Formats: sequence, C-alpha cells, structure tokens
Amino acid sequence: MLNNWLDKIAEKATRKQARHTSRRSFIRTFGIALIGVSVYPLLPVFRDNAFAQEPGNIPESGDPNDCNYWRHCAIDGFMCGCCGGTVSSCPPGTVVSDITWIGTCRNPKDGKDYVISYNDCCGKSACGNCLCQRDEGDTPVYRPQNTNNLNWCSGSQADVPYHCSLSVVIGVKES
Amino acid sequence: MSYKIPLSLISFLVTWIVASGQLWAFTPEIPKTEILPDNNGEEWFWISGNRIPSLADGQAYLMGQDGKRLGQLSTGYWFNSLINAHKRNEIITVETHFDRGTRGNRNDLVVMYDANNLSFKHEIQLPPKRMNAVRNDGLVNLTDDERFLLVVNYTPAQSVSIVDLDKGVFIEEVETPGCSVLYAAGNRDFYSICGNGGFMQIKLGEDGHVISRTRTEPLFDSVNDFLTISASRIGNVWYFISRQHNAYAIKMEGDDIKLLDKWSLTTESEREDNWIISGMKHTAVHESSGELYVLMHQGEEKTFEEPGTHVWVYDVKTKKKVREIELEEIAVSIAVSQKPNPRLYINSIHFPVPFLTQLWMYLIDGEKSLMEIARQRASIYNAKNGQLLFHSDLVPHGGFVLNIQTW
Repeated sequence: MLNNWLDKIAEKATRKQARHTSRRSFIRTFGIALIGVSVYPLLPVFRDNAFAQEPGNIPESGDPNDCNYWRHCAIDGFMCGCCGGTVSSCPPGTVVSDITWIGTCRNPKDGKDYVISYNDCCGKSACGNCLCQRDEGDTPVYRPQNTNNLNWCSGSQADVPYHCSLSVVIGVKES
Repeated sequence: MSYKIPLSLISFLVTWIVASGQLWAFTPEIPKTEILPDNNGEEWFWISGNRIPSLADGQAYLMGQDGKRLGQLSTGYWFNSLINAHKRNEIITVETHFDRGTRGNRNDLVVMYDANNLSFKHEIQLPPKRMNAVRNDGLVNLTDDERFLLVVNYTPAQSVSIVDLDKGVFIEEVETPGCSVLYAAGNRDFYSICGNGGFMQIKLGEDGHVISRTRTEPLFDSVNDFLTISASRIGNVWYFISRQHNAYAIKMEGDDIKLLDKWSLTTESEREDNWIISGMKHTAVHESSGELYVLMHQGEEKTFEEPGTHVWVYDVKTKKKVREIELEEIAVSIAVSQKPNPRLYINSIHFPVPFLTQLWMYLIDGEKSLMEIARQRASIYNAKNGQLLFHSDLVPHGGFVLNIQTW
C-alpha cells in the first residue's frame, strides 16, 4: 500500500516537474526555434551597415552571456559570447549575416530604449552553447517580418550554415 | 567424486561423429544488407529532423510497428521534409548539401529513395533557395497523383520550385510574393498562405508549368487571429488552428476555396485555466471518424511552442471536444494513423533516470542539469481510448528532431 502511494506521489511529482519546470527550459536548451529574429521588429528588414554609426558609451549591466541580459530581449539563437565571439562580434571565421531583424530593448541602467540588430553569424555549423529563445510576438513564416522560425543566414555571403546570433546596439531612441 | 565412462561408449560416439561428418561441417557467414520486410499494413512511422545543433547531419529514422528501428536516411543540412510517395514506391526528401560540409557550392536536391530498401535511387537539382524553417509543415508538397513536387523557397524573396518526378527534371520557379507554405487542393492545385490572411492559388498545367496564380480575399485575420501552419487534411478540407485557439475548416478543391466553419478550441473556463496550443506539429486528423487532434498545455500565451502535456480530440462535425488524452511525457509533435482503431504517435521528451535521481539533480543543479540528459523517443497511444501502448527506441544522441509522421 505504501509503495503504491509513493508511486502515485512520485508519478504526479514527475509529471508536474516535467510539465512545469522542464518544459520552459526545453526549447532554450535544445533549440527548437532559432536564429536572430526580433520579437519586436521596427523595420521589416535590416541590411547590415544601413544604420552604421560610431558606438556611444552605453551604460551596461548584467552578463551578456545570460539569456536575461537586456539586449537579448528579442534574440532567438545561440549567444555568440558563448561561442568565441561577443555580444556584438562574430566568432573567428564566421560571417555576419547581411539581412536580419531589429528590435527595441530597454536598458535598465539608463531607462532608454535601444535599437538592437540581431545579426546572425554564419558559415559554420551551430555553436550549440547558450541557446536563448523568446517567443513573444512570434508569427508564422507567412509573416516573416515577425517570425523567429526562419534561418536568417539565408542570403548571407556564407549561405545558410547558422552558427550564433549577436545583439548589436545600432541606435537609441531619443525621448 | 568421479565418473567412469565405458571405453566402448566413447569409441562408439567418436566413430558415429566422424562417420556422420554433419557436426563438423562449417558454413561461413556472408555479410549482406537487409531489405525492409513487407509492410503488410503494419503501422511503421518516421522520426526525423535537422538534429540541432548538428545541423549538417539531418536524419530520418524509420521505426517498425513495435517501435524498433528498421532503417535510416541521411538527409543533409537543415533537413525539413520527408514525403511518403507510396504510389511511386519511393520516399522523397528535399536535402541541402554543401561541397565541403558547411562551405562550397550549395546543392539543393529532391532525392528519391527506394521504399523497399531505403537506398538512393536518383536526385533532381533545385535552385539553391529552399526555405530553412523550424517548422516543417507545407514546405514540400506532392500533387495528389504524385506526379509533381513543389518546394517552398525563401532568400528572403518568396517563391516555389516545381519538379516533374516522372521526368526527373526541375520545371520552373514561380514567385509568390507575400505568400509562403503550401496546401494541396487536388492533382494540379495548391494554395499558398499569405501574410494578409488570404491565399494564393497556384494552378499547374498538365506539363507542370504554372498556368495561373490567383489571390483570394482574406479568410482569416492575420493580425488578431492568425493561423499556425500546422494544418491537417480530411478530403478536400484543411483544418487549421489559430494562435488564438480557434479551429478553421477551409475547403480547398481546385479553384474552390471557402471558409466552411470556425469554432473555439477552448471554453471560457479552459481559457481562464490558461489552456493553449503547444509544440510544433500540433494537429493531426483521423479521417474516417472525422476527428481533429490538437496538442495542448497550460501556460502563458508566449509558451505556445513549448511541449504539450495533453492531446485534445474534437469531432469536426459537432465541433465539440470528445476526449482528452493525458500524455505520460511532454510532447513536441503528434501524428495519427488512419486504421479504424488508430494509433496516436507522440514525439516525446524522456528523462532516462529514476525519479529520485531527477529530483536530486533538479534540487542540486536546477532545470539545466535535467535538460542536459533529456532524450527523445516516440510514445504510441491508442488514439481512441488514450491508453499508452509502448515507447519506441530512443532517438540517438547528437541532436534534436522535431518531426513524427506515419509511413
């Protein structure tokens, strides 16, 4: 009798654990959805260097290799800082994607909204470290301007081999 | 203690053995390659995908009725789509291969495999443009007569490549601006779903060339009630679900496209309990009983792609939920077989350690430690009563696969 009771408790606990704890991190860990796509795109397509400007002094806080880091508010992919690059530079030997999506993230340090370009780094197989995914605002692929379900290395000089994603500050919203 | 054996008995046995010669005959084994057994209506199924992060090494695993592995296809970079072409006795995949792994010339190919032995038969070169998407629905479509194959492209320009399977040639590429994945509507008609809530009809001639492209009026609200691409078909009706948890029955037959019906998957109380859709391939149908299967879980709206815990079954005629199937393991994708007593196939996440070990790992190292040991397998249920029948062999280490589909 006791064994049966323990079995039921264990079963319920396992199911609950599986459903309510593991599920949330499952996608982050295994990378179901991918590839630097903005959750809050301001423009449908951002072409690299179209907004090129000298970086200013951006007040920083948090760990760029943590999924909760402020710039990653709309990232979807492996964070390049865990792959030999940084939050704004691709790992050696990879190629920055020409086309990507941009989002707007609020910097908790100064309370300003910054425009973030989620360029992918392409030309090698997937990094496999530090997957970070959020699905807020994601739409199906027939609305590509908002989807995180596409490989945005498509059209890059290195073609579709996807490696990791950047979170590059390209502008600031002046109030 | 010792035993004494009469010398005469030993002599007799030796003489008999030598004389017969049978027991000394040695037949060497000759290595060979298996062919698949006759299917004979058995319920085989596929588990396949791009194996992220091992994206260059897509695989498709063919599983037998008992969940044991029957064979495998190796399907290249960012593998999405496998088609059972039973009339052709072929398995068709659309594959991408680079000359040097992740660099060099890109080759996009339609590849035909022999359905008797899974060996390569031949391939057809495509423009190197096929869409690399996380979900797989509608990216590759076969005409109902299995003559032509249509492949969705994204560069990010949107287009469709058309292949003549009988002649083994690429026919043409047609642009589909604003529209994407395809749904079949007979032997020569497809509908591409568009960002404005409408569809684009693509009509092929008998030679496979496109003879017309026609945009329909919007059939759904692409902003406030947009459809997922995971639709399932009964006859000439496709059943879609929206991210706002409505079911849409859309008839697609030749030139005829019409929204037949729409209903909510959830009641008000279920919505208050945060029941939402789940996973990737999250719909399936049992055609003869008119049942729509939807993968569900409880969570915030933004968790709509996280694995599901339940499958809810709807009668498409009454538009009522007829049963709920609680899953033993969380699920990514689902499929249903078409026999009178169908099976429900679940692409499941499995933690291969005892519960107390799971608990210990969770308490000490948190979720991440558990996810590092997570594996995948298929879980097979009786679709009519929800009884778990068995689990399949585990998916091999090395990457994650999203698809599950019947043979």
